[in-house]
Amino acid sequence: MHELAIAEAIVDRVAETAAGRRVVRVTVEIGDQTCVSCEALAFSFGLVAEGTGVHGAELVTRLVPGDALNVKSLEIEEAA
Amino acid sequence: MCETCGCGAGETTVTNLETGHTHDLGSEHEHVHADGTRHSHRHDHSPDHDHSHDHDHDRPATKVIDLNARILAKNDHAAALNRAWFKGREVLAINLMSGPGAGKTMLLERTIGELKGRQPVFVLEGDQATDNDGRRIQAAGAPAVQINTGKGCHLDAEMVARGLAELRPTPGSLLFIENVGNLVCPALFDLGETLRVAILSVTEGDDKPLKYPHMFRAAHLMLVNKIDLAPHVDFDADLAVANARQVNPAIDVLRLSARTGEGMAAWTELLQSAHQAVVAGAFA
Repeated sequence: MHELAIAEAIVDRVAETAAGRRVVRVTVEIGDQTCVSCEALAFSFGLVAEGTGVHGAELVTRLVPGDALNVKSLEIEEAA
Repeated sequence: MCETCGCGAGETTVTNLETGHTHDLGSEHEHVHADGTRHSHRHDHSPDHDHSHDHDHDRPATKVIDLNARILAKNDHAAALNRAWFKGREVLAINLMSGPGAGKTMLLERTIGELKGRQPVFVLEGDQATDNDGRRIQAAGAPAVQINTGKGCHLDAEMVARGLAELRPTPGSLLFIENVGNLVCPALFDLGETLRVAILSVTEGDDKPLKYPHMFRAAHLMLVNKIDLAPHVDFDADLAVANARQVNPAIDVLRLSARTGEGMAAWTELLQSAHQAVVAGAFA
């Protein structure tokens, strides 16, 4: 379950950038040569996000050729 | 489901070999577009929601922040520090990876014996539990630090950095990092090593490089271990090498037996020439 470690890294990075603002959506790029399963990642992401500022965010995974593993963007609610 | 990228990662499927039917287990918690993009579902709504209304219209305005950051940036950073640490001390660091029981520890015991008096050897031992292997390495005559990962299925660069602080390999030494026995996860995590070595033992079967391509794609060298047993287990070594080269044309291969010592001389020679290359600054 290396996806758990990947999900933790995503949540850490996103939480840091969001700095307390509610995160609606996180978009990641997963290379097809990386042995990361998008299904396992989505499952892990839900678990890891619980109890953090990223809880409830939708994870969008884009499969791309090669060995990329990137957080592309995050969508956050603007401060009221 | 993601035919467009050709990753074949549909991703989990169940195929009935009697009927030829394949079922995609793409979980009901997500949906997948034709281009391979997947959406996990929000956890705060009921499962019988309408897909066409998956966002509320009274939510506050949102904005998108582009990050374009590597997910494993933290691990990469720690690995770069390890790599600089090794380079500065002219240490050859070898990440040894294989499935459980392929003979990593026995290979190390034998290697420590062969290099005794020629080159100092240090070992970071990774296992989910127990210090059995660390003790075996100590008994073979090399300083060892045991890293237990608990539930973790691989070593990461920070664990290695922590282990290095305990082990303190001397300048000019060989450092073996025996990864957790697993043919999948360790391939993904850069530890800052100089050489990535995948061990395939003949009892595992000659088709493993095709079944676990990521590991053999990531490795610089494949060791075909327990070669003395090949005639007894219908293992075709040439086919195993061809399979490994199919996923990684650049992979080097050595055939050996840590038990009988066959092929060990070529392995220790390779280690010593790789170490000379480290000293000469040939590895970036």
